[in-house]
Amino acid sequence: MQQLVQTLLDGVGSGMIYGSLALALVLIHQATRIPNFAQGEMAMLSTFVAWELIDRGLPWIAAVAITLALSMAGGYGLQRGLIRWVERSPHLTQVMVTLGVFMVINGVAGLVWGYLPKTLDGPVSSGSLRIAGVTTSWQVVGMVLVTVGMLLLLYLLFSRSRLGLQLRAAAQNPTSARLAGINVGRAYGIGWGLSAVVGAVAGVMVAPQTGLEPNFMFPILLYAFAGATVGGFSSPGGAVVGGVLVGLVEALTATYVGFIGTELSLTVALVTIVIVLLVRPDGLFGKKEVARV
Amino acid sequence: MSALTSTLTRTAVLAVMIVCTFTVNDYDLSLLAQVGLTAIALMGLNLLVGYCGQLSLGHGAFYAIGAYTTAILVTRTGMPHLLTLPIALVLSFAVGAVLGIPAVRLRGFSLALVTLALAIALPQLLKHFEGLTGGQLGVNVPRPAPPGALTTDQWTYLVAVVLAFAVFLGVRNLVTSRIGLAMVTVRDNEAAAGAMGVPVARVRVVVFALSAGLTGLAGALATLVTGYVSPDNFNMLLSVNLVAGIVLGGLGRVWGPIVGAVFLTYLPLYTTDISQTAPGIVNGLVIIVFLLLLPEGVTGLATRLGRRLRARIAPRSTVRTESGTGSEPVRT
Amino acid sequence: MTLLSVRAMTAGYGPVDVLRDVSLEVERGGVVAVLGSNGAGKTTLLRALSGLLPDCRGEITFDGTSLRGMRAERIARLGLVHVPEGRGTFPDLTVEENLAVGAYLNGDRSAARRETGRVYELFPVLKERRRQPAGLLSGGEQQMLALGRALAGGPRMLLLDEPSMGLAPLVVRQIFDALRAVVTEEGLTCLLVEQNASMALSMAGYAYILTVGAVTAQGPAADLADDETVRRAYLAL
Repeated sequence: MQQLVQTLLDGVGSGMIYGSLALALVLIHQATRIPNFAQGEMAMLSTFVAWELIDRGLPWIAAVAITLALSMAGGYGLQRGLIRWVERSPHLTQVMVTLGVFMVINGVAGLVWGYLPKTLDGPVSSGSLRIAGVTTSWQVVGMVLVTVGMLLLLYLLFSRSRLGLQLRAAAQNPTSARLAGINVGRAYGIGWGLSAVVGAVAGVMVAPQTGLEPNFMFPILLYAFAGATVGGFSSPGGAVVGGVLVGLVEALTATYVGFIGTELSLTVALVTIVIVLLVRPDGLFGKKEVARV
Repeated sequence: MSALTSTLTRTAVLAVMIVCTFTVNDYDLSLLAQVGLTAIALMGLNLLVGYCGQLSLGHGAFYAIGAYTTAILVTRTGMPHLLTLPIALVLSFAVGAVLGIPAVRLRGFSLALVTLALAIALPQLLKHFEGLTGGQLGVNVPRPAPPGALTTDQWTYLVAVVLAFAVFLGVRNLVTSRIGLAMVTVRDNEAAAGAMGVPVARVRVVVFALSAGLTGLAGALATLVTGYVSPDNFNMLLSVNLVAGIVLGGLGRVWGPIVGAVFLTYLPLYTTDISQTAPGIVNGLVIIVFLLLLPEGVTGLATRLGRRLRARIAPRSTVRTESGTGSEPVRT
Repeated sequence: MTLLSVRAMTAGYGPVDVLRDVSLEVERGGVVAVLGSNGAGKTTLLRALSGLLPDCRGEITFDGTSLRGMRAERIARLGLVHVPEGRGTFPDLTVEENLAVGAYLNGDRSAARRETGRVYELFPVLKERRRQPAGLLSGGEQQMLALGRALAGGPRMLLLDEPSMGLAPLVVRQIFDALRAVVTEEGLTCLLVEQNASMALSMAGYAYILTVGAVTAQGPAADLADDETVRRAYLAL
């Protein structure tokens, strides 16, 4: 019983991370219809920036704050400087351009920081705590709290604020949005910036557990895509729930299905994606996507 | 082109390949073999991306499947190297078909998604089944024994380039055939293709599987050339590098993969002096810059320049030969 | 006093010119109708005025400001607001949120609240449905919402593209009544593009007739309504 609760807790903890990155993917997909395959690498770059700042002696919280600001600017700049030029291109071109970005970021990170894993400290001590007989680490608790807080902020931003409303309007009907005085290009840029920030948070949260090297986001990106597929690419809330479900499936299979263990966890994600696409292609919460002809 | 000239050209190409075997040194031959097998992989990927408009981020995985098939069969069963090649092709084709069925009938990027998942998951799978794959360390595969007085490098070079040439002719015939036309119609207007009676989903699954099979064959050849397989050589970056190769060469152009293969083979030789990661950065930039500025690739640019040049030299005759200068559709 | 003036405008999509050498003027507080059959270039005219067509030649001035090369969102912020043909709404936003997006054109919150209240007065059905997503509204309600969203921003001039398009006569009357109320009570300036010529001429003071991209007739609306050729061509009498 205790083991089960603990497993579930771990699953929720990592699921929150997958959910955050899945949310970043869905935000960009909602706004610009592009699945951003560079999302994981953008998060990786942000995490390296945070590591660098901490390494140079900045306190954790300041380093992360600067990183988030830089991520916002970077995401905005990427959209305004590059992605906007393929906004009207075929889908295939858009996806491939995000792949190009993926390669460039991955290579540059390798060039600057090398491939030896680095240790990034978490915001809280790595000690563990016991509640009602269940042992868990402060890191898991911190991850859950931070992610929930971030999701709450995003929800408020999109549902209550003027900026959020403008972003949603620009995503739904760009022409009408312009006619209502909204700078749609800026809105798309902010959308990319926000999802870069969400990705950065995910990266900073997960790096203390996995170690930091240029390829460290590959698995997380896969889980995030699995989460977004489970939840549906048209549903931001669904993406988070999907991410948590994927985290739970990962934790449960690792603990209880002997031959899978931790070593086949990525295959579990692959199989999850294939099954969801077969059974429920629009995800659990997604709306049926109308093909663009 | 008449049947006679086409036969002559083919014979000439083969003759040049054979002459090279004996005049070029072993090191350069192994590079040329690499060009040949990379071209096969790119021709497979180009069928899917260039002609069918579907993206795969997992062709590195099919390359790995082919490479491991050959490695395992040769080391475990002692099967002759050449016999393993068709098995590698069929196995990759089968995996492609199984994954393609759920992926291709859906939303634009489902295939990209599933193949991305495969590319990320495969190295872990390879490490897991250690008994079969040698785990993290990989497998050393004895190079094939060459027939007659050839060296091993000469022999693997010949196998690679002759197969590449055969695949080239096959692909060229395919894309000008009715199936090729169906592929392009599906790419350009799915709804119209469906309305005209093209079985859209079936065309896509078959092309995807075929494309996976060819890439698997390339992987198997790679094992013959390098004599070594290891899981970390087949990570996701390999898949994206392959995409860079066809973008640079020219999407949906028969000569594109050849140009792309030369580029992918020689790029690391000149750039790894700067940094181990330089080829990746260059390939990423290639994808971005070509798609933005030169979406028809190097071969498309060459065709355009060639046409302009010819128009300047013989302004009158161009009108009549125009149809013969395009790269698409292609003559045999 | 002239609020909007267009001189020798030529515009289109890529190499094709849809409008050739069009000139027109709209007085402050006036309602001007542009009539024409399908494909005459009416929608293109409005798109050019609101900045949705990047390459259009000629001089457009709005209240003394040249609109040449100005981006659509800036033109909207000047108070020249385009209500596009058909459903220009945001389907997943609620009615309330749709109106809020429009109201952001107002500088201050109290003005926004006042204008939104006025929209609910004009179209009570929108108030009833304010928590519903716009995508669930009927065609007529969508048109009301599109108009309401433009009004909520406190515009100085409206560009209306076929507000009667595809709607039942009763709904058309409702929309035009609301429009008439705004025009007479608040002196709002309108450029109204319509195929429903009798409705448009009954509201407008002045009208232009557009034929295959060029102005072929113009005059006070009452005169045009009496003109024999116009009656036969556009009023189907």
